[in-house]
Amino acid sequence: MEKEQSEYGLNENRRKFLSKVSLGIGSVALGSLLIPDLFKGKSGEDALMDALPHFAPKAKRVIYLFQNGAPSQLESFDYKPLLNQQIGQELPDSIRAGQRLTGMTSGQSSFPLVGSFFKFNQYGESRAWISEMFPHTAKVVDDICIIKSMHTEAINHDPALTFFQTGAQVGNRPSMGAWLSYGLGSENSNLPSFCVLLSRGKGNGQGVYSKLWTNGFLDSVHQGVQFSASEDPVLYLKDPKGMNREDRRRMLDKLAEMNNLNFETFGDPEIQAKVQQYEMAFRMQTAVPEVTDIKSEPDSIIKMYGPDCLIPGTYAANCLLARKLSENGVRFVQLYHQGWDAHDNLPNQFIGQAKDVDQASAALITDLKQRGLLDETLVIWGGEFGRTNYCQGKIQVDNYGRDHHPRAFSIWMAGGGVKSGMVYGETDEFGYNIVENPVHVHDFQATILHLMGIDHERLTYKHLGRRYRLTDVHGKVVKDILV
Amino acid sequence: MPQNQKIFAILENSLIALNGLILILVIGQDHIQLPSFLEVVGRMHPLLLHFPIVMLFLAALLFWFPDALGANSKVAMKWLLLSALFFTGITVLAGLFLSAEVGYVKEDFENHQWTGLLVFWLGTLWYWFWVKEKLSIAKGLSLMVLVLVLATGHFGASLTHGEDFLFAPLKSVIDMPQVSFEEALAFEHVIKPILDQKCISCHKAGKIKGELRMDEVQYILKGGEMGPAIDMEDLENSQILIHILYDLEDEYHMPPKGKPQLSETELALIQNWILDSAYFEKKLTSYSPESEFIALAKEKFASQESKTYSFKAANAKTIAELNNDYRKVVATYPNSPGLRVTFFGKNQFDPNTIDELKKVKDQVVELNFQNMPMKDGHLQKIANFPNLEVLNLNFTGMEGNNLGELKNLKNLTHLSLSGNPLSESAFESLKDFSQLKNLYVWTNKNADAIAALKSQLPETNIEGGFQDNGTLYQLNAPQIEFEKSIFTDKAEVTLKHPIGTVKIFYTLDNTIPDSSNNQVYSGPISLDKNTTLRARAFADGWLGSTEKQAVFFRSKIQPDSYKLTFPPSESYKGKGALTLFDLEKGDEDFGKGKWLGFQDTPFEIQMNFKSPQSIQNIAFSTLAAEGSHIFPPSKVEVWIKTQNTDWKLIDTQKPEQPTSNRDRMLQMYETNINQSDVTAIKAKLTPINPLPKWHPGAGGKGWVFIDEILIN
Repeated sequence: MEKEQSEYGLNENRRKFLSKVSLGIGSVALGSLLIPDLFKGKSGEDALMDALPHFAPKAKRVIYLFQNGAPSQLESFDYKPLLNQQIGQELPDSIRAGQRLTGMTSGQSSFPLVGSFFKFNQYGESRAWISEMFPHTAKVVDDICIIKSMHTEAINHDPALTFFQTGAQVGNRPSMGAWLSYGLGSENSNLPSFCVLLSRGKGNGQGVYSKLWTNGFLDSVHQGVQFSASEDPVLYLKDPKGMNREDRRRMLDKLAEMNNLNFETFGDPEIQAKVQQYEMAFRMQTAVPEVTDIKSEPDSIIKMYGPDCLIPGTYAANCLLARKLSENGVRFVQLYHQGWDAHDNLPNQFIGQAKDVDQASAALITDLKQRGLLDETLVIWGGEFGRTNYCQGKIQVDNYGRDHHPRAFSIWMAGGGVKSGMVYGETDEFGYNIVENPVHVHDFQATILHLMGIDHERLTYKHLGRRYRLTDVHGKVVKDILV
Repeated sequence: MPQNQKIFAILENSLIALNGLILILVIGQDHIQLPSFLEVVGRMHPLLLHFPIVMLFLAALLFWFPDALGANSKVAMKWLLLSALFFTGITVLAGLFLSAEVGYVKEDFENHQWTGLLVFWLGTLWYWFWVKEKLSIAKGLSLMVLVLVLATGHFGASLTHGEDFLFAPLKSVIDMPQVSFEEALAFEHVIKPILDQKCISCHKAGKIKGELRMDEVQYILKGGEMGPAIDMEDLENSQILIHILYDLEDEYHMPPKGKPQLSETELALIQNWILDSAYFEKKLTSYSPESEFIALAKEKFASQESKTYSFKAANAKTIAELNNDYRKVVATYPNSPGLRVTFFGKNQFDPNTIDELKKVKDQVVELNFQNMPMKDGHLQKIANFPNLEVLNLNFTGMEGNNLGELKNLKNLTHLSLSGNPLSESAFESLKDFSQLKNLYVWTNKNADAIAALKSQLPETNIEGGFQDNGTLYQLNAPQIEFEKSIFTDKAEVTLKHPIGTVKIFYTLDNTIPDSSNNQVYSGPISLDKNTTLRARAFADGWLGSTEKQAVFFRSKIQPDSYKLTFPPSESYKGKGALTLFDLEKGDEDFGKGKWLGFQDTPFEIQMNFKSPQSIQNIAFSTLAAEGSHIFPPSKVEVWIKTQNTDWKLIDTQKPEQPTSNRDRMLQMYETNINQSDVTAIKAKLTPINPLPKWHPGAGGKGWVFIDEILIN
């Protein structure tokens, strides 16, 4: 009897327990039907990422030809004949309106206007004014959109450059390429989604540092990968001498085996991420040489970019490489060409710099166009700010310098959903202030993200307790220049 | 118990009272005049209604399962049902008050009203039959009451939350009108969707706040208590415009604070549309492309992606399975059923894998094969994707002989064939591709064929691309690659050039390579003596490159011991005397530690051989960089000692001194020995002193730099 009683008690308890538990499990299961991510441990950011792109993108890839050191808008795309007429005359205070000066001209007692040493002509259907220093760009003028009304907040190179690339003047935020990699991932899983190429002209140069292509607080896979001009375009990618591909494969397999054992013990997803990264590096060992090899390029392509492109590390070579990387699915290719910082001897330096970049930049447009890729690739050309309409130092018609000018400068964009053959924005006749359609750096960034199918207000990352954006709390898409 | 009975009696009585009151109010509904305190009661309707709903359901439970609470069930049931009916009555009453106040249109809330009333009346009957123990009738009534409660709730929700509130989530996706920008009307497809979303829930038949309806154009023009919503006579003072532009905090701001607000774009759209004459029937395409309204509307259309497909999306699992490291299969835009397929990695490419895409053959709208090796025969596989729109075959190497296979792809609008050696028949078959909007056929060779095609396909944008205008550029010099320029036995040298089609000419006899004297490079060159290799690159359509030179030295014999008489300068001491025999040539950058420099003392060295050596010559590799005060030595002297003879000076050279600055250059001073029993060699290179008058450092001391001693 006692036995039966205890058994009954047990049964009763077990039954009750099971029924309660099953009811509990059932209700959780029901709830989970409505919250699909309940057990996936997804963060808000992941959920956000699932929704990307936010809308149909116009551009799939970006090639950013950064003209580091700040090319003068007054010798390139912003034609101001008044400055030639009033050469040597003082910049009116009403125009300068208290604009701060850099340390380099703050000691200067007079600000004599100086006009472009180079002639301007109108080109294409847009009748855009372009200086004689850019004959090749002039030929593709109907494929580009010149923005003459860019303005920025910084007045010195490093903060201005950092501002353009990361949306903040201090250097701890992710670069634009890293944001896009984070938002859209890689198109080609055998190559990094953000690549960086450096070149240097003969003009006065300003440094570029790896903080410009940093992932900031984003995952390190989004960092820009610098391709060097040497025989090893990507450092540490080649197997050491004496190691063949089979050995490497066996070594990676064994390593993955051990890593997976570790994963089974600790369950840290970072371990699997690591295994994936080793695998990607292994695939890059064949993908990178395939992409960087220019032997497969027809002669006519070489001629189009100019023979400089055969010399590794030149701007022309980088433009060609940029096309090859981009066409192979690299989301963001960032070029920097140094040497535009002409505080003195501007005409002379400008000739050299323009010669370095004009032909290859235009060739990149033509090359993408003839492959049918221009529509889906956004190309950007421009520096971190503009240059003053007055002379820095001693003034001569054929020898003068210009200081930094953040209030108005020119850039151009092409392809990828940007209107072609357009000139946007206008400056006053002194070329000093914007009088129509100003475009702030944050607006520019918002527009790039928009073209890539991203709402710049919704691409965020939570770090140190707050959410960050490329455009901080600013930025308006420049709709007027969109197709 | 008696207390229960008392309360039951009170409740039963009030039930009768409520019935009477409600009956009266329903009959005289149109004539109710409410004191303001009863308006408050009326507005409590949305709160009160929750009580009877819950209680009626609980009562029904007890009614159907009378033993649930044991002996007390009956009393509990009575409690529940009576109070449920009491609250039903109060709720109905409040509802009637409310209906008298707000401007609901009769037909819309009638359903709600009558179902509500029926709940109350049938509920009362249910109670009555139950008390009289006519259980079967009571059962039927209870079921009817429950159904009516649900119906009343649904109709009520439709009143406050909008028509078909309940089923809206199932419908909204399907009901979105899909029109292209070209077909769209300004009001119907741009403005109305905004009003529908943000305004209409309070301004429509059934809920006419401010006496304004916005669900039909006629009502919008008629307007509400403030005047026409859109005033065609005075557009700027249209009430819509005035109200949406009020500050958010303003009590007249629309939509009211707390409701979904107009976005910046929506506000700008409405504003621009009204100020631009508020055309109701105008097509978007008839607007001036300059107008602000069109710019904004275009934007809206672009972000909605007007393109739609008639086929269904493929199974997500199928798509995931088709993706791998070298083939990406992704939706063309968010939620698109169309797929874009891109192949990467030409070494991994296998054309037969195209067949794996058969599972999604209807969904594939973009195919990208650029740089993948393809044969003309593979085009047949591509013809199997009926909905293909974009096809990229750039640089696949195909001649396009059977491009005709693709002719029947009626949706194909973009075809890229750039960089392929297209045959004549390829151009012939392209004439039939009138469906194409964009055709990319750049090859740099078929200019005539491209021009002809342009006239045959006038509707197609044909991109011929860059055509070489015959400008001759100079090739850059080839690269010379080797391990060490000084070797003991043999050296292997490789020549390279970045352009695949060049020929590299080279000579080994120190003459300039040209068409007369050259050898054409075909593989690594083996050297076994001192050699100057000179190379140039040539290719059709290019000017020959500049020359590239490299000098190779053989150093067969190494001394067994050696000693410097004077140490080198502290700044340029390299690895000491070892530097001279490490077979590593220094380059023109003399600061890198591969050079020894001497200024105050001459370079003097004695080299000994354990066993007598047969030596032909000895050479000293030096640097001349006058700009850096590094000159040829003023004197080079060499002594030897043999088994039989003592030290003997065998050579004295006085190198020619420059008369102006030159580019940096490597210089070799060689002395012939031709003795078979040499046991030691001594050499001395004396720096120039003083520097010549033309030099900026005239009068000072010159330097001697030496990096290697070669003995053969």
